Amino acid sequence: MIRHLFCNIFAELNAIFRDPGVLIIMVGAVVFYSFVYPLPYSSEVLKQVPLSIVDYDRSALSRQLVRMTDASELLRVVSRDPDMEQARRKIQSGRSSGILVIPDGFEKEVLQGRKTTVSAYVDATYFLVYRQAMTGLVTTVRTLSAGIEVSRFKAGGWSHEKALTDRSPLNLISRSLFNSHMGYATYIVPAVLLLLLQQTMLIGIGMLSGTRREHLQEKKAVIPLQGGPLVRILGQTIACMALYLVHIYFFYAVVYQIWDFPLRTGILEMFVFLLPFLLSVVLMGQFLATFFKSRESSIIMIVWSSMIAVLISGFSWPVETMPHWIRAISMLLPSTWGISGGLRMAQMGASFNHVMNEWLCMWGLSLFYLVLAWICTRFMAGVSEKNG
Amino acid sequence: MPGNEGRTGFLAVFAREILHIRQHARYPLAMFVFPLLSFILIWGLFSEPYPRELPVAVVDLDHSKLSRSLIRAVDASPVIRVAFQAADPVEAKNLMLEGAIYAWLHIPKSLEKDILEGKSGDVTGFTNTQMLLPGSIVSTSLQATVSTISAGLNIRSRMQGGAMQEEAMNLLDPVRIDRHVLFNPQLNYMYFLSAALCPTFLQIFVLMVTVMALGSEFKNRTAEQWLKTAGGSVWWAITGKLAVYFLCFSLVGLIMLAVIFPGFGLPLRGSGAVLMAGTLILILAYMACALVLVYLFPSLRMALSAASFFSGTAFAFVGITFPLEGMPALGKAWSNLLPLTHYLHLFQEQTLRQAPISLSVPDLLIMLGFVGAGYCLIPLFKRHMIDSRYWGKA
Repeated sequence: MIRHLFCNIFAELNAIFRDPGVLIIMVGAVVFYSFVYPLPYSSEVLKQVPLSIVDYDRSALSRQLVRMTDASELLRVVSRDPDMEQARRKIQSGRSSGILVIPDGFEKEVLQGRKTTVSAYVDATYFLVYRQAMTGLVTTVRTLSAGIEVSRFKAGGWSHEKALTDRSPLNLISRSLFNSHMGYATYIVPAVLLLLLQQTMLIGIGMLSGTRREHLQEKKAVIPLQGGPLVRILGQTIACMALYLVHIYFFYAVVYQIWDFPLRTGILEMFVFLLPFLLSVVLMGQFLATFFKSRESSIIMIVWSSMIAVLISGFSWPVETMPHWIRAISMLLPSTWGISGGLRMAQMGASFNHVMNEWLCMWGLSLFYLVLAWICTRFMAGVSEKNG
Repeated sequence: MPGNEGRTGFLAVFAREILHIRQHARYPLAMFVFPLLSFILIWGLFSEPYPRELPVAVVDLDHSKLSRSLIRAVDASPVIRVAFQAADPVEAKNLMLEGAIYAWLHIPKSLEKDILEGKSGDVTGFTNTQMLLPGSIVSTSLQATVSTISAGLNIRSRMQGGAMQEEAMNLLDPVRIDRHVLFNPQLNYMYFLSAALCPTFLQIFVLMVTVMALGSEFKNRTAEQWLKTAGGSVWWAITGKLAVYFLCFSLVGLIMLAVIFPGFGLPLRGSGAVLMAGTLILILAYMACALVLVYLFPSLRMALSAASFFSGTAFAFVGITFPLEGMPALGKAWSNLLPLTHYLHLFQEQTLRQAPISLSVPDLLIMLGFVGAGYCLIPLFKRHMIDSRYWGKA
């Protein structure tokens, strides 16, 4: 039994490292994607959103406002347009994302101590663009306004502080925890890395089984697997998990360093947490592999499912808002639990107690897929014996 | 196909391909079943287009009338559900680390007393921004609720006297800003995002299936017989084959548009015809990309790996989740090499932005450029079809 197990582990490692196609997926893709995927988000926060100015006032004060807008790190003034129509066209063609309109008589009103209003028109097609541009504009105008306000109160001899308290006695202070600069890469990439482990493992196992099947059909030499279905499954499981433990180390020790993601727990804890994640993925892969006839069939299905796994895992769209049937599907994917608990440990510094639920669910999934893989392997073995 | 044995040319290749598809279940699965399942799943996932009832906790150290009414107001917001009353910040943080809440609201001691005495009071919202989307939604909603409560207190305290003179209050906010939202007045990002996911799924299947269909001829050493069926013409061989897939995917593409517009709530403010033309050209463009990949990678497995990279990562680069202008130069360049980027540009112009058709013409032309470049490679395939060195590469 033990001897068979070691033979199978060796046979499996041999199959992985002798097959350039499998190596490209299970090693090459893991390394390659972990550098490519963060690329679009590498600046983390969107800054310098392009803006048009329509200045009907053309006064010293309006020019000051334009200068302050351009100086805001969130905004960049790209054009000055004579009217709204032209500025609007610039937005439609994608050359700017917003318009600041300064009305005629702007400076005069302010100097006479009256209230005045400028208008912001911001393209809301994209969430981040809208949020950054609007935040930048509101902050800039408030800064200008506060400056004028302070000097008016001084001149009138009233307490500015008292006025502010009277206007708004109750205030909310917002504190961002764990991803305090609201970085986009820090939000997306740690989850995608875990998904990458799952999907490459599924493709790799699909290819390995497909190749074995093709080679047996073509009567090419393969190292025969020994023993019963359980020993066969276990051999592949240990071989693949050993390889992927290296990847986990690579992610947390190298990729996190390079992209400067916070790691708030030890790598050892991550190993322990992700052990049932890898186990359930390998077993799921062995179960799915029984359905793929050729070595390529798995790729299409798994590229497709990787998009779906991201959407339903709960980090991009809250689980509370998902319909029950989708939540039920997502619970069958190891990535759902791995991402949910893994992010909380690595990014938020949760202790093991906090992720116990996820950890146990992944052990449960492992058992579930072990039974399925065992049934399928037995069934397939029965079929091939009949054929042979 | 009985009676077809002797025939050669475009139609013969076309018929041969239909036979091939009928013999291999993976083609109908990847052309019809998976794409349609994806559309259903996206529709289901975003059928509630705005998050609701996101759980938060409160740490109420004040236990006053004011703190209770604040908690009630927070709970009344459709976005938030006050799921826990935590005794202290440690308990609240544990709830967050367990994944039970997205935020907690901290109400300090003597908040009500301070405010009644005319001082200002601060409450603090601690938000989990590792969950960026729900986190920022909860944070915005908390801000709005606190402002509303604050405005109500303001009126009351003024009526009770002791407030500043009207004259002084008028000096506040000399310059205000009027916010106008362009193109998306409900600020609903989900309907555009969810609609954009559909063509993203479509391009995965078009590229992968076409690569599979072309590459398997070389892998299975049937390329020569394929060329023979085409009467020796590489043009008939490739166009005859691709025509089958183009027809199937066009059908799926049109179904996609028919699903998106009634189903996802996305307004079609521009031209439906341009959108349809764009969808068909998108399919042709990805078939052209498949030609390039199969030409570059004679091994089917390598071609499929490259195709999965090209189509599987596309959504990160098209600028919908994170805008193009925020990407580094390499990211921008890669983004422009994806037909999907140009299609979604057109898609957005013709749906939300109500842009004139003339603005979408460049997008159509760029996608046609992809098509042209890919189909220029067709003559080069002849060598691959007759030279057995290119065959049998798994």
